[in-house]
Amino acid sequence: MKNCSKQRLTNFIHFGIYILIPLFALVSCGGNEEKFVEKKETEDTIQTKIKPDISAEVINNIIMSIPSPLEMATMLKDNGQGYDANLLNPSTNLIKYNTNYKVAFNIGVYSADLGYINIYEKTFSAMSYLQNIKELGDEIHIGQFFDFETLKRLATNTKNYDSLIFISTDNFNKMDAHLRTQNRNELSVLMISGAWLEGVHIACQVAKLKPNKDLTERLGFEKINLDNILVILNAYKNDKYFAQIVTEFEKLKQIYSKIDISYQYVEPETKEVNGQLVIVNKSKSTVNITDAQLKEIISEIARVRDLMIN
Amino acid sequence: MSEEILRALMQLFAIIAKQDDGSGDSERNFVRSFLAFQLNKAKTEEYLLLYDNYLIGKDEKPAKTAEGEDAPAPKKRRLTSVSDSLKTLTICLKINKTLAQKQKVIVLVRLYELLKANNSFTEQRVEIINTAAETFNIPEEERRAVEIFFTHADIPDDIAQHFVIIDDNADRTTKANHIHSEGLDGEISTIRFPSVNLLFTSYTGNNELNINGIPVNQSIVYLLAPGSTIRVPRGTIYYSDIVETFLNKTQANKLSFVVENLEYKFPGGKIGLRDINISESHSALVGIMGASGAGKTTLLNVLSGIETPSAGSIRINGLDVTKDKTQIKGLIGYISQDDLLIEELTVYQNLYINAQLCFKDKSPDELKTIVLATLENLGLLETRDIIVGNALNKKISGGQRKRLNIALDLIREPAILFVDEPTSGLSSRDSENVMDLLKELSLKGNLIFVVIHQPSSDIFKMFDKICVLDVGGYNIYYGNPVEAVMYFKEAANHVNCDVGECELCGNVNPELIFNILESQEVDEYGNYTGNRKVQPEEWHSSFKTNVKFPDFKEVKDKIFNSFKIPGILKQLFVFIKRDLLSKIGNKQYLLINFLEAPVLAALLSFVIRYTSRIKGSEYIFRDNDNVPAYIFMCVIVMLFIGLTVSAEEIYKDRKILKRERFLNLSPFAYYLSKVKILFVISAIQSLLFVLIGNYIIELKGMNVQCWFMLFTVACSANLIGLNISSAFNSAVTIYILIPLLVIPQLILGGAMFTFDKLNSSIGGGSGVPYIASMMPSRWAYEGLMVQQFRYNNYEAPFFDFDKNISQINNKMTYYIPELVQISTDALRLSKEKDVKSQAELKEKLAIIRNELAREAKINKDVLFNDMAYLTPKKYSSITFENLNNHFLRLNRYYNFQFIRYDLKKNLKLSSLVDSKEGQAMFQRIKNKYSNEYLEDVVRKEYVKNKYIVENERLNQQIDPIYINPPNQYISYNIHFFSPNKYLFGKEISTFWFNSIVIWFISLLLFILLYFEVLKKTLNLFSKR
Amino acid sequence: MKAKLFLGFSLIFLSCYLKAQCVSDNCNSKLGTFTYLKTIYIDNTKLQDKPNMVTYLFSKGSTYMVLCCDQAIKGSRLIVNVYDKDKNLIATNKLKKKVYPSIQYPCSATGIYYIESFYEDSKDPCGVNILGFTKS
Repeated sequence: MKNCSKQRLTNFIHFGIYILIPLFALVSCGGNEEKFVEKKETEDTIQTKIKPDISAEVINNIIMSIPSPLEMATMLKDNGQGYDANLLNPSTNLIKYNTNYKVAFNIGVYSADLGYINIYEKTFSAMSYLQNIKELGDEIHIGQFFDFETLKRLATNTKNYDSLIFISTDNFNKMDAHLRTQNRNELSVLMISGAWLEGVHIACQVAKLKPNKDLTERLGFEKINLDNILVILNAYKNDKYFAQIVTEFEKLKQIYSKIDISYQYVEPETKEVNGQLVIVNKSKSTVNITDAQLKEIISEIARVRDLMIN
Repeated sequence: MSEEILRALMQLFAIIAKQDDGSGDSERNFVRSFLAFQLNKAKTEEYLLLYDNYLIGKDEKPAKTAEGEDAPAPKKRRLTSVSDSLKTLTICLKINKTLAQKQKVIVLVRLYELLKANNSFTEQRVEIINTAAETFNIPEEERRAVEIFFTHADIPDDIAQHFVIIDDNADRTTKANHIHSEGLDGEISTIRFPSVNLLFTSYTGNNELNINGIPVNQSIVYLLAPGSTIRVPRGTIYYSDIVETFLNKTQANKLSFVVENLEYKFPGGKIGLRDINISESHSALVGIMGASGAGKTTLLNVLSGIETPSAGSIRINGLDVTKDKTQIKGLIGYISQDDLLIEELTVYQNLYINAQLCFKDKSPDELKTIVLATLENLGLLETRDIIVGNALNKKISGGQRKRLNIALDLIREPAILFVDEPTSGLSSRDSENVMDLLKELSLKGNLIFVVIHQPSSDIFKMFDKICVLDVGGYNIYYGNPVEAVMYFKEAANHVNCDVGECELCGNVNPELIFNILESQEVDEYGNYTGNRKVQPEEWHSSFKTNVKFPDFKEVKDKIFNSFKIPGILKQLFVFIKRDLLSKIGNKQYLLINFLEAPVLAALLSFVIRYTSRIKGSEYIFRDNDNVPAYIFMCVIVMLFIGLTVSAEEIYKDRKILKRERFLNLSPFAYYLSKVKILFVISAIQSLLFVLIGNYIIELKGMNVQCWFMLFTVACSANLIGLNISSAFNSAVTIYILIPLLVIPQLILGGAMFTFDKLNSSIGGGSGVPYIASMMPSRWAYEGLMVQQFRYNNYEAPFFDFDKNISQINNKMTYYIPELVQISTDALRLSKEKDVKSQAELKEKLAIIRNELAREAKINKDVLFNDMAYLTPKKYSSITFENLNNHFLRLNRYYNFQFIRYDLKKNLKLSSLVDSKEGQAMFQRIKNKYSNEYLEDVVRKEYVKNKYIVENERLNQQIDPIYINPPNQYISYNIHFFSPNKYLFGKEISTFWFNSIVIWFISLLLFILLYFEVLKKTLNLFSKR
Repeated sequence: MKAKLFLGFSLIFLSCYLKAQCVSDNCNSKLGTFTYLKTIYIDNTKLQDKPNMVTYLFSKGSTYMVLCCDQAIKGSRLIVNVYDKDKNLIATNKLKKKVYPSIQYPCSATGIYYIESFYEDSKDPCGVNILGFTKS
């Protein structure tokens, strides 16, 4: 019957209207979408770069003077402490770092972690953290020093720890130097600060679990570094982010202000040993730091660090 | 006979029967035998009871008691007559409402039969019948005719044309039409009711005749249906024979069909037909016969214009069949041996849709009438709502299929009809039926050529002329069929060659002809050698010399051609409806097609929904490595789906197209209809695909774009498929081609193999190879990737910043140092004097010059002033120093820009993440809307050489997504993953540009399809 | 100030670029068992007569090595001096007219130290200092 075909046609059309169109609507509406709500740009937010209060040269010098976190890590290892991955900033925090400042600071943090990992020769984690640093580095356009080829080579050549340390450190230095050649010194400052903070934090956490005299002393001497870092951070204190860090570090400085460091110079002797010049050093420096002060330092460092990495 | 008619009849019978003497046994017996003739025992009794009840119910006295009584008072008689008249009137009025005219005529005839049973044509009874006839609005002429028919009175002249008498008498006593039947005792008289076109016949005589195979009962009047046969002593009388005498012989068209010296060569060069001469006028049924391989079908094809003859001409009223195709359009019909039916539609629908394409100005009701009439003529009315099915899955019988096939062309009654073996595979009754139809058509004025194989004697005699072909296309006889037999007998020196048909039975033996033709030589042992006695050429020359043609006058009148096909739009509509109905009817097809896409989408996206367990067990879109591959696979899958859906489309229709070529329908409408339906299917498939795929893999915010691009791709695949479908002649070939069409798209799509890493003769370098630009997959993939990267909710607010920052950084980090290196190398080379070094120096300086020029276009602030010194002769260490200073300044400039953009971006960023919620939202958006690996792909993260030297330029390889394309009129050949393109000078997003390109490709494919380029190219090759 | 910045930047730029040319890569291996800390680039232009001065915090308990990587051509040797925070000379690599390639300083007093490097003769100078450490 003709009705049959008409019926079929109408069925088909109904199908089209009642099923397909809602489907289509579903497609285009896209459910609950999340979008950035952008604030209107006003003319007076026109940006000028923050000018530091002190000269670039001085900043550079200070940056160069801060010791590498490798030193602290080596000390931890040589003192018989075991490797503890929980002390490190986990990779899952990576996604939290979006602005330049956060990225730069945490590159420092991860670099310190990397140093720790390298000293303990944990190659697998080293690769992972190198990856983290590269990712963050790319965000602020200093990731190019990471030769992908080298990384690949390293990944396969797991026994070459010295090479790994060299590459990690070299890379960090290059990134740092590059920032300064690009007039982005503030990021360099943050990087160094982050590296320092993390290095000290790891040492603190170890000291918390297994205190020992050398470690305690070392932590006391960190006062010098803290003072220097505050100088360079303060140079940018007009910026909100820097101001915030300065505030936190100032609290730390308060604690450290009660600790004294003394230095006694004695003329050293120079000797030749196997064709190498070796100095016999007789000078001494001492720091007096009580257990209570150490405890304070440990908890304060932990608090600030926790704030910075989240 | 329907229940209603039977009831009415029982009532009327009852009324009539009890008139006058009341009903007697003879009436009752008539009624019983009448019922028994058409119903089974149970029903017979049932209706008989009904009849009895009617009799009783209206009588005061039971009919049986009427015997004993004497004639009741006349007064009483008349009273009952009047009330009965009223009752009759009532019944007849009721009948008028419920029965059709034809049925009423049948009722009338049956009423008369009742009278005839008792032979009591009393006044009252006749009066009642007359009342009935009047009420039925039967014309007066016919009423009188039927009365005379039954009473066997003399036939008055004025209604004589409604009668046909068949007897053995040569003398004519009446003006009624007459058919002579040798040896017939008595007479068969037939009456025709022109108003309803019904024939009734009855026989009085001593012969034992068969009507439609059943022995004739002389007391019964038979309704003669189309195709009926009456077996008489000397043969058969056909319905069409009878009808022929009734029909009006005035012909509107004078037609002449002339074939002169026809020769046809096959594509290979072999001669298929030679020296054929035929001349026919209208109203003829010509049979074409011959041994297998003689060339019958070839002849048919050439005559109908499907094939072009290599020599000679075929003319219809002076117009050449091959050259003047437009003028003779609609005149020719061709019914092929294979059935060209649409399997999924019913018999009625097949015919109706065909009718819609044949008739332009008819309303749906008119078409319906014509269709139903045609179906009835062919005896297909009862099967009209049955689905045709295919050869394997038959729903209607083979005979019915064949008849439907014939109906498709018959419906428009083309002036010249070519039929290829209409009776093959049919029973002898069906065969006769079909041939009878064709005969009737030829009687109406059409010229019909029929290729027939092994006809029965009866069919053989139906032909007006036969044309016999022998192997090699030789025409060895053309003339009257019976005379043909005599001719061959004579030629073969048979006994009694002057006898054509059997004297007693009237049978002719057509097989005789072929036996004579193919009689073989016998060797000395009496075995057949396998060589023919007489070669075809001999028969041919013998024919030419011995048989003379009567003079044929070729008519060159203009033919009145009422054939009008509907306009393109209407055709389009019909094509779409036909396709749609056929597709909807095929549930398997629908199911697979609409499930294919979502199932594949589910499979694809489910399998590759990868969760990197390092960051927890939750699925994070950003970290799914497989997203770029997913996007590419979507494109490829849609290509496959689009191709497979469309590949068979036209191929499926090829039989129908073959038939419709004589209608000269618009190919544009046909192709467009196909395209439209496929596009709708593609739209639905891509919708389902996108919904499911994107949902599972959590690709957000891009559903409409994905749908559109995949739809576009599927449409282009549809058009590719249609092109192959129309060009190739086997389904297998078509499907084998599909990988050939999809794999190159897979390879050159830009995803599996990047364009810079191809064979240097094809690609490599920073551009896209031309061959890849022909692939829709390349455009679709690029469009989707760029769209996702650039406009996802995470990247969109920052894209411009990121672009500028990255570009500047690339310049400072890679571009400028590279240039510095080149200039240093140049310095070194300038100090060497050998030819090779000088050539290298020249090249290096050219690079520097070009790049400085390029840089100057976009950066007007830092310019190099000593361009003149950048030649091999003038290049010195001073130039080098100047150059380096320039680079330093450039670097400083970019550094400044970098800081500026960086600051802007970070300000914007800070404002978004200055709160805990802001921070969390930022992370969520980053995770949900952006994908790290997709970013790596469009930024070519891992390319080794960030800039490469090509054609004395330093071209950027890294970050293609950030490279602004040059402002061209149409960006047809820019790098892959460009962020935007230019169309007619205006900037347009990559997604839209690429979509337009694919649509353009589709349009080109449609044009190719319309002009059948692929098919013609293939034919060209096959002809060689 | 800007000029200085520019120059400093440019010099470092150049020097970084030029470094590859004069310092061999296996200088690092001369560290031996010492762990690499940093490379001190010596910016040497004719404009500056001051020796290169770098500060670093040496910690008690570590021994530091300051390695000189230069072209080892007589007359162009790199000289390095180490001073404590009060500018007392702690170490130098030139002892009795002999120039040693490195200094080893075992630190017993944590504090800021100054590492000063310069060339004996300013003719085509080229070199770097490498700093390493190990446990004392």
